[in-house]
Amino acid sequence: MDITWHTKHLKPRQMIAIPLVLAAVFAAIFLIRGVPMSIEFSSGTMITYRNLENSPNADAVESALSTVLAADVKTVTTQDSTTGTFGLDIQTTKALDDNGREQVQRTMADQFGIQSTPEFYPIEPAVSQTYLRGAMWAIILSFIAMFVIVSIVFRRKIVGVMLPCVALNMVWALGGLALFQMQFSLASLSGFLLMIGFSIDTNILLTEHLLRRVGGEPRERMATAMLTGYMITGTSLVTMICINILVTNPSITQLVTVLTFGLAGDLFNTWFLNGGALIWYMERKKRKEYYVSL
Amino acid sequence: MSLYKEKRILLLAGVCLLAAVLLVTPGLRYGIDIAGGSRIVLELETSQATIQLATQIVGDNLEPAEEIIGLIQDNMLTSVKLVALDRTANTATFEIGRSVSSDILASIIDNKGQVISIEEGKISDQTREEVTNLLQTRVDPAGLLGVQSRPMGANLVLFEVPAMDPERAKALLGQTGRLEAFIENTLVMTADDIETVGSIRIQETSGVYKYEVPLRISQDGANEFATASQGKGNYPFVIYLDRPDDAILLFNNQLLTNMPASLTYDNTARTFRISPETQGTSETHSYDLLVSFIPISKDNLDNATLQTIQEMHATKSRAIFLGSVTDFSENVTGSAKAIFTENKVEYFPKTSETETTTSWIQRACGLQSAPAISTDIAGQAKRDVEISGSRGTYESAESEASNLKIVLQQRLPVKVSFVGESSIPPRLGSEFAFDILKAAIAAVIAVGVLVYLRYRRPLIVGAIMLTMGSEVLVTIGIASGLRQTIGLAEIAAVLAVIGTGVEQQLIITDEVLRRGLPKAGPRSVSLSGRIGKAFAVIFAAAATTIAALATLFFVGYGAMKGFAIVMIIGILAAIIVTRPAYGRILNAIVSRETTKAEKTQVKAAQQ
Repeated sequence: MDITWHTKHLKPRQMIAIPLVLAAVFAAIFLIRGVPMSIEFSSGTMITYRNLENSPNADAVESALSTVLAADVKTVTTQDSTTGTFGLDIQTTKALDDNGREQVQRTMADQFGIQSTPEFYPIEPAVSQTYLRGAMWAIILSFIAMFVIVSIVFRRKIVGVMLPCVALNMVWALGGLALFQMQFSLASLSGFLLMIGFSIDTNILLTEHLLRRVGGEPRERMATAMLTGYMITGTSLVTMICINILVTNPSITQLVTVLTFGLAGDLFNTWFLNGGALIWYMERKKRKEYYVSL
Repeated sequence: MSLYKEKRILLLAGVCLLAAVLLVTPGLRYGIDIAGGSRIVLELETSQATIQLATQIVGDNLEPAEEIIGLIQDNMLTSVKLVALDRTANTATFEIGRSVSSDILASIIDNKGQVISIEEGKISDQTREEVTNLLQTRVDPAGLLGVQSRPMGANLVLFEVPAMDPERAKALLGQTGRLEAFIENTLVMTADDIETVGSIRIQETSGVYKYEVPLRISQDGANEFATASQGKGNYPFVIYLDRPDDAILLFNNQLLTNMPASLTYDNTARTFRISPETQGTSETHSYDLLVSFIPISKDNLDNATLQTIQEMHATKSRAIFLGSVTDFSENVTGSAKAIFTENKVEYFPKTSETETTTSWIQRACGLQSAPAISTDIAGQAKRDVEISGSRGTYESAESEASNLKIVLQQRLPVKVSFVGESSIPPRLGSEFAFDILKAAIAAVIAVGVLVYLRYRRPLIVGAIMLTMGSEVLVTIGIASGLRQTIGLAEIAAVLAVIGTGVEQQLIITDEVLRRGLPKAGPRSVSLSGRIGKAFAVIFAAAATTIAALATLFFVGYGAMKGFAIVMIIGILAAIIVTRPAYGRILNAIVSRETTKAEKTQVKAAQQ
């Protein structure tokens, strides 16, 4: 199978259309199913037990309560530094009414033999609105910074096309999270950043080959760059899948899901969308030169 | 030229060695998921008071409200903010940085307005964020520790501090930083007068370590000192930090039977008086502790004492027992809880059995030091003031002084108090570390196999693996040297460094092995020229990624900062050190193969 087939046979318009359609599909999945927010980003309830004789198994409590409450639960065992007794801090994304509180207490008593009455506190997101605003600014500013740098390096405005391509990878990743109903957490946020790093690399590889190299037709140069590009993205994907199979940690799974979908999207967004746009630019420029020389 | 003498290779070896040293000597600091840490819950004791203003507010002239803010600030020594204004009803809501009763507030604002309601424990989001940021700066000034905070309930904040024991976290987070200095019961200086806090000094004299925290006072503060100290030579200059002026301190009356000579209890003033030891010929003056103390029997409260406490409850909102829970009978603590409510009863035990009664009582009052004013500076506008004290060991003197310095630098606009503290064990134990190791090995093997399938050259696979390994070592080593904690986010960043690293090595390898471009004409590009071309791509990509990460670092959320720092270190290490070295190694591998191939060709031609 020739993986560079499209570089030889498709018109730029067709190359551009394919990733746009796919991105629209992922955007639709995201909009329809939505992505659940993790405990760091949502409000909920904090349930604290104190003065326990034994240290409870946090993982068992976590799974028992998440089934009972049908909500995300995060549990931490604590130890009092003066008395040496143990405690449990249970965070859940659910706001508990009297009924829910009773459910928690009954589960704790029945399954773990913890009879004491806990304290319930409403909690607000650990990542506050101000931080989220900050994060939004960070993303906007970093895109501006990226634009400035690639414009300086390549001295052509057309390279700005790279930025929507990187942004579309995020749409794929969000769609992936929505498809599997994975949480948007700090871990998946790291995944997004990682993915931006990876896709900048492939986009720059493409741009460098198309705009700065000499020799050969642009489409041929794109095909050679693409072999390298598929190799590097493939290596990253294989690594991520290995990690995901071996490590059964929800944070790692979230991170890997984001990366997997983002990188899969990158194969299209770089080599079809950005590639298509650059080929269109190169071929149009060539036609212009042709007419001028005529 | 031998590969071993090549500059780039030597640089790589040197940097790897440095990283290994950095990794071992300060040691890695792990994040809360891996190393555990402390959880501290703090209460921000604000209250919001709605007051009917006596004077109508007209237009933009907020003077009637500002007048009230000034009055409350001067009388309660706390920050006051106007949070809401109802122009039609002419009422204003003020946020006051500590709890206050409506009687006290009414007496402070006098005829300027009428107190309509007071909501205890209500705090605006803006104030809460301001306080949370200040507290984060106290425990994590450089933002490398990865402290997390989370609002809980109306006015509680939960802090998670990795790798710090609860005692130290408590010392840094639990103090408001409300400094007061008195001469003869007159307030002459507050924390607002502090301009800068100088570097701490520690001196040892015969086994006792004396620490000093120098403060630079504003000109206004110095002038005030001059007026107040006029003719007060040899009087003590009494400095308090977070004086519990809203509390009644209850102590076991057995204490009175065995008192040091310098300490006396005054039954009418309901406090202790401290008489400093006479030194040489200079006269000394005793001073009262400006906190209410009441002696009680440890087994039960008699009616007279109970009545006194109840009367004082009008102005005092907390009770602090000198001692631990077990030092008083349940009967006694129960009656205190009945008056003050459960969370307003606290305990203040001795630090150790050997602590003297005087030092225990001084600590309970927040008394920092009480140096005598020397006769030659009395009445002068003195701008340098020291807080001093002494401890038994260098470490405790050092930590006491540095905590004091941090607290005074990051003073809070609202009073904070403890709700709970606990240590938390690592969430991801040894099992997780093993998982990560497994994953890393699997990833390395997978990458190795893919690279081999593409190039079919074991030497190149080896070179890529070697570069990858040294890159991880350098990244973690430098992060450790910067005292960055390694948590989940940072591990993700290391993964990213490995990922982009392999990616870029593949770009270089492809470029070098391709030997010229398709139809590049007769001019074939030299080997170093090809490596140079590959580097153009890599530098552009690195610069772009660093730009994105730097913005993330400057505006980012706690855990994301760690991610950004580690990845920036990794990318810099890669483009400055490991990538050039890899280029050189690859160059050596390829030229050796070329010479070999040429030799075989020559041989074949000869035959």
